[in-house]
Amino acid sequence: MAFSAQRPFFAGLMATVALVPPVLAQDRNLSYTLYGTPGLIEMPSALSARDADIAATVGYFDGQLRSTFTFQVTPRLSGSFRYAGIEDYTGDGTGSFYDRSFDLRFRFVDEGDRMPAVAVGLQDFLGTGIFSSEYIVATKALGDTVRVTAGLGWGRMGTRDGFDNPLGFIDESFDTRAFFDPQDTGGTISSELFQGDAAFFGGVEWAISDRLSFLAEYSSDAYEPEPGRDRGIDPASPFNFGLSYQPFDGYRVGLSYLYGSELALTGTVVINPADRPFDSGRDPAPVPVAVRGADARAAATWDRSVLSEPLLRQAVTAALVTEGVRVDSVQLADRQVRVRYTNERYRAEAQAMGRIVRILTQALPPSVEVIVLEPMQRGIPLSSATFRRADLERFENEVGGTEAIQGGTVLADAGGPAGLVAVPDPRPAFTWGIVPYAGLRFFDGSEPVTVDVGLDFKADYRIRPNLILSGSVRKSLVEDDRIGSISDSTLPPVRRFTGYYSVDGDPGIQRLTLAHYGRPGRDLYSRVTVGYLERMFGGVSGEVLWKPVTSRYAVGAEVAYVAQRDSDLQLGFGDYDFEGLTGESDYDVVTGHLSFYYDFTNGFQAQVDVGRYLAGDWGATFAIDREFANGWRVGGYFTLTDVPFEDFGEGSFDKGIRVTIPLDILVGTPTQREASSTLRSLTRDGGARLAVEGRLYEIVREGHVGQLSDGWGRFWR
Amino acid sequence: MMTFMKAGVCVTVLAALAGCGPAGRDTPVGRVLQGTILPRLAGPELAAAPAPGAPFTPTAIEADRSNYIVLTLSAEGASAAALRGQTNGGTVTWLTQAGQSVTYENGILIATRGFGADLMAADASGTAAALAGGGGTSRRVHETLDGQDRILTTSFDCTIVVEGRETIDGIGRTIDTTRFSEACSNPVFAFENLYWTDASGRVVQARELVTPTVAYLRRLDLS
Repeated sequence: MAFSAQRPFFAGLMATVALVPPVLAQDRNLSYTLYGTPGLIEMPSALSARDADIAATVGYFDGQLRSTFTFQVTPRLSGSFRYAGIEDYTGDGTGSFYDRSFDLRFRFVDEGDRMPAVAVGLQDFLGTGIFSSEYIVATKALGDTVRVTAGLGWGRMGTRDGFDNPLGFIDESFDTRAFFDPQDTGGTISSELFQGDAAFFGGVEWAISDRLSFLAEYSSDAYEPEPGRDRGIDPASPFNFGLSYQPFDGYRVGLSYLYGSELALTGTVVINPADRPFDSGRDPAPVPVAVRGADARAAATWDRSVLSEPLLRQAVTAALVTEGVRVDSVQLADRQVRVRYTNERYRAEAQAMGRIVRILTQALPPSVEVIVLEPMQRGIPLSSATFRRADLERFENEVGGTEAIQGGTVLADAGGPAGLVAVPDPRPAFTWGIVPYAGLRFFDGSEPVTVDVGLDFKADYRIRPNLILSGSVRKSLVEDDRIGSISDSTLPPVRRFTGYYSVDGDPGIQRLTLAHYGRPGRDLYSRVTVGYLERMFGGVSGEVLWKPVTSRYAVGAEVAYVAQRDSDLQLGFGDYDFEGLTGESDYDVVTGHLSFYYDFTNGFQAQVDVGRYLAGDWGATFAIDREFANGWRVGGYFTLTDVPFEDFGEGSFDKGIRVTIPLDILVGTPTQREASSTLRSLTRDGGARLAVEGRLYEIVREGHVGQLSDGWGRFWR
Repeated sequence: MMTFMKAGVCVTVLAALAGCGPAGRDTPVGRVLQGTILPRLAGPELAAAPAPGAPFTPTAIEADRSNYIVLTLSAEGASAAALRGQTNGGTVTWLTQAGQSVTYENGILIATRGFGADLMAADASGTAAALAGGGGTSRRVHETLDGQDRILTTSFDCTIVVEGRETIDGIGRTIDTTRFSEACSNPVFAFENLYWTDASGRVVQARELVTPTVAYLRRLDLS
């Protein structure tokens, strides 16, 4: 079915920039439950969202507010993080309970003509779960408008009309389940998975129109009260009914009537890293490639008396400033030119390279046949990319040209400094700025999450390109002296007093360091950072990274000697004033890690760090991130050390999830800025890693094969 | 077809309409326009590029018509002048004051930049041959960028037919042209381009699809 050209979103040679809500390519008509996962009303279904969808759902009924983020990690696997607040959880009007939970769901059978989609799911599977359930569920579409779901649930989803666990034949431990153990530090994968009674659940979804659906379900969650706990609902019936409406692509609202007794509302926003509101971006046009005539191309030398080398260097430098490129040094010869530069504007280094070579074809004498670009960051060269000028002239506006240039470009480690002539940097060596910041502060279950906003004063002084003095001072604009309860610990207080640092150290020096970056050898990169390295520790940190330009793996080693800073975040060490705990803590430690990095070709990136953490514990951190070529990253990590779970405290071990959003996607024009956020479990002392800024891997990989390939589509942009 | 009162008035209007956008001085295209990318020793074709000065003023356009074209986005109706930026044989890149560029090969659009959903590259050689031959069929290939910065290649099957003769207003001149229409389609999308060629077979006006989001762009040569 073909359709003709529509009215454009952005039109006009004088278009104005307008923010539009995220647009989904397909209308999946997928509703999200009160638990924030794809499904009916409270019960899940076997459906998956579109690959890489990130859904934020808020569901509310009678004193329970559930906020959930669900990420479709792969087309079959999705993970959810939920923050729930339950008012009056203790039932006597005093306590509200704030609980964090994680879910996983895996669809292992796809829907076919006769076969339903089947999925298995774990809800709130990391210990101390008030929502803990496991389920197997199947969903089948009947015709165009009806979907039927049926499943079997354990745990909380096995409480209504439950029967003996069908898995009891495996082992008798499957027959019983402990629901909530207050002594359990939680945070670890529940040992009660698929144990206890099981119960059936099911439901029907009827699409009244392509935006409105009617849902009806039979819930196997009986909302049983626990001793001393009020679950919030007194169910009068096991049936839930609801309507789900999609006013615009990417937005969904639901209204439902729960258990014959409560009304509930849900709202969902879905964004997908693969969609971009501004298409390929509103980058201004690049300089066109200048094609040399046949006579000119035959030239083998250029006449220095007509065009001197200093003049050419100056012209190239001035022209590249317009593209946000700062030239460090240039090597000129009759047939080849090498430019070492720092790209300060384009998120994709490949796009910066394309812009640079275009300008060079305009500026360079016709005898120059080979152009070598060496991108730098923090004053060190990262790699070298060699282009043939004849290829650039041929492939500029040609179909297949992007791929052809990529095939003809030779990537290798940067060359040595011999032959390069440094270009004076006209910009001031001292830069500063004031930026706002915002963050969330999570506490223990007795306090809700709060938002902290304030101002960061940052300054940098570039003594040399690779020797940088920098610092930041932070002042919060929120008056909040709450610390939250801190459980006892046998470990040194390397992280658990972070709340005191937030309250006493306001305003405080977040970081004040002198950093040196180097290239000790081929494929080797080095960093030494001295000073107040992070909020709670100062000292010296050194790192070496081995990463060949065309490889997907890297190995690094980092060692640091640090001492704990004063909680007032001024220049002192070792004095602390934690409420009722004044004293001295001359705590110092040698911490370090061996790190292994691997960049899978399908967009996943793994990192394993093995070593000694701040509290002196030994262990390893495992992290995996899904990266998108447009700059989005979503990932998570966990750390296991020799600190026993009981000593670690609530949560049992450190884990977190993190998201990075590239800002050029939101504003449309080129920028390297990005917004990153890490949601980690409550700050404990085990598995704590030094948060030093400017670690090598993320800096170095920008100029290497993985990132260059991902962004190569933008070369001619 | 656009109508204009007098050459001088409409050129003024064009220049005024093109006035919004970045000053142009510090954009790469601005540097090219001002000739501050120097020196250009690459040959006679570049030496014919416009001299530095104050482009886009009505007098500059009128005095130098061979180095300007008029671009109009059909959906918006707004027009702007574009200055010749680079001539590489039959491929010419034109630059607008707002920092956009369009590239035409033998009068047929093969690339745009700065429009958001840009046409990254196009192969319309079959269309050029069909226009020269008075009609025919061709296969077009378009390249755009998807949401993950990957090149997306789309092909269309096109039929070029003569629609008739037409006298068009070339802003200060009238031109007797032959009008062609090119109907292109693939299973997902269909569009129609229009071309007006003069007696020598040169395309002097065209209305072509950029991408489905940007829709149609019309170009008129001023000389």
